[in-house]
Amino acid sequence: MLTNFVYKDSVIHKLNPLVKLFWTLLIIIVSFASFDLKYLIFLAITSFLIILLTKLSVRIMKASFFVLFPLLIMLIIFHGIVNPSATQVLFKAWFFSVKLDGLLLGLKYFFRLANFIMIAYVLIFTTHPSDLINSLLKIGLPKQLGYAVLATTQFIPLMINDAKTIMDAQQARGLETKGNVVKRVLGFTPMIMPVILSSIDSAYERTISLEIRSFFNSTKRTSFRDFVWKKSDTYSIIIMFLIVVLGGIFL
Amino acid sequence: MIEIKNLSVKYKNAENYSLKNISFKVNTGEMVAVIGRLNSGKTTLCQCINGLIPNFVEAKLEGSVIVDNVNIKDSKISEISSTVGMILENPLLQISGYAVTVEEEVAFGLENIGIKKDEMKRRVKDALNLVDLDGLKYKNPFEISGGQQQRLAIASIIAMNPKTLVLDDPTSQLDPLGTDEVFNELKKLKKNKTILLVTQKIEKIIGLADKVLVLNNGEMLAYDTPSKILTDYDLLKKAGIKIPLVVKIQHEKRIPKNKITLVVKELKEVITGESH
Repeated sequence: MLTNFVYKDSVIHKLNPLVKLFWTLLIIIVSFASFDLKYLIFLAITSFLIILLTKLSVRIMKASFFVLFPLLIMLIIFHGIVNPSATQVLFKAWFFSVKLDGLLLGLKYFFRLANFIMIAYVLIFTTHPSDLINSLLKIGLPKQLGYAVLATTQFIPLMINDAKTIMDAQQARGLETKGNVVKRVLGFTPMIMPVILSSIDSAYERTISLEIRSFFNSTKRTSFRDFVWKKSDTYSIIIMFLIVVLGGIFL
Repeated sequence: MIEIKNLSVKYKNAENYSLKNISFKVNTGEMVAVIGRLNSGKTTLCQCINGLIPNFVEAKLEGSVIVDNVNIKDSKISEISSTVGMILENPLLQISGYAVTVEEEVAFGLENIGIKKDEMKRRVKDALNLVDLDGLKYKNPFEISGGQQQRLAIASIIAMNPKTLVLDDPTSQLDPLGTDEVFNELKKLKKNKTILLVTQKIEKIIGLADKVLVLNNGEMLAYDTPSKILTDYDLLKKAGIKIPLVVKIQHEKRIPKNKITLVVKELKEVITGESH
């Protein structure tokens, strides 16, 4: 299954997926609505503390730092140097001038993205996709939409396996898939059609399978899994809401 | 109860009929085995019984298919699916993709028909025990072997407790031991269900099926008891079905048709009796 979920015995893992979804949406909306650098840094610290509570290794975020760090540099350079609306010149070097308000604007954009990524990490790494979708189904997400999301996470690895098998079969018949870009593109072309056709065929058969398992039945769906909304879930929502609101008032 | 009268099926854009004028009846508590070579119409027949034809698959259906006094032509698949359970030939394609564990996969159909949680848990447990998959209940359905996926497909349908079971070669990916287990379970289920079983393992239907339906190019070649069908050398040859060794030997010894036996223990007696 295509998932980044990592199980740890942490308080964050034990929370209802809807709580984590609420946190994520709240932090993202507030981050994108705010233009106050202090407040954005405060939200970044809050998100980082939540990551620490997950007991997940911070190394998991390594890949994101590789994306975030160049982005930080680029945002600061672009806004600090070439943003036409920036006026407060900090210093001049060679033929360009670095502007303070531009640098601050770059930092704001950076923290918005950082907050988005950090809180999304909490949701993705501590919540199994199946738990999240089933929780959303409980509050009214259409089952067809839930199925589409969950099935995608399950079928993409299968499609990759199919593609590998087809590629092996084509290579066994002498197809060259290594070499320069032109050779690679030409090599992969004969593979595309079988992969697409076998996927369409599988999708058709799977629809039959859903039909015979009463998926399109209009009866109200019940759930095999237990979805308990605990007091701690309510408190978690209230606490996060207070942190965000009080931070906004006092900073 | 399945009652099929003058059933003919022609797929959209096809030149020929895939099933031609088929008529037979299966009573509750009976099992019919359907045998025939590739493209003889076995899967088409299965799809007619659970309403996929004409409700889902584009095909023209002539005649009538009545399952438990309901005419399939006049019903929706969603209504039929809770009373007619079908197991497909390819178990991988029967996995919903919705569930992340084996037990949730079994529960998928039950969730769709609105079974209450306690009842659902009991049925899931019973179905998994039946196919001996209890030890794998927390595994991802895509990460188990083909044979295990086939048993999972069987458990998923059995848990829904349909009155009629249509099994399209449910042991195609099972080893001999797994095949025996499935056939033994079918024997137990037979008591209060109507079962239509498509299979290539004809030796297994002796003592299990009440009747055998032989299909060839969409036509019904014969519909009779297993002992009559499986001892008919010419019929099996015409239908392109592997002839049981015990029948082959007796045919070569020119034993008359009515004296051919399927019981190996009786073979010596029949041959020596004929030679005297």
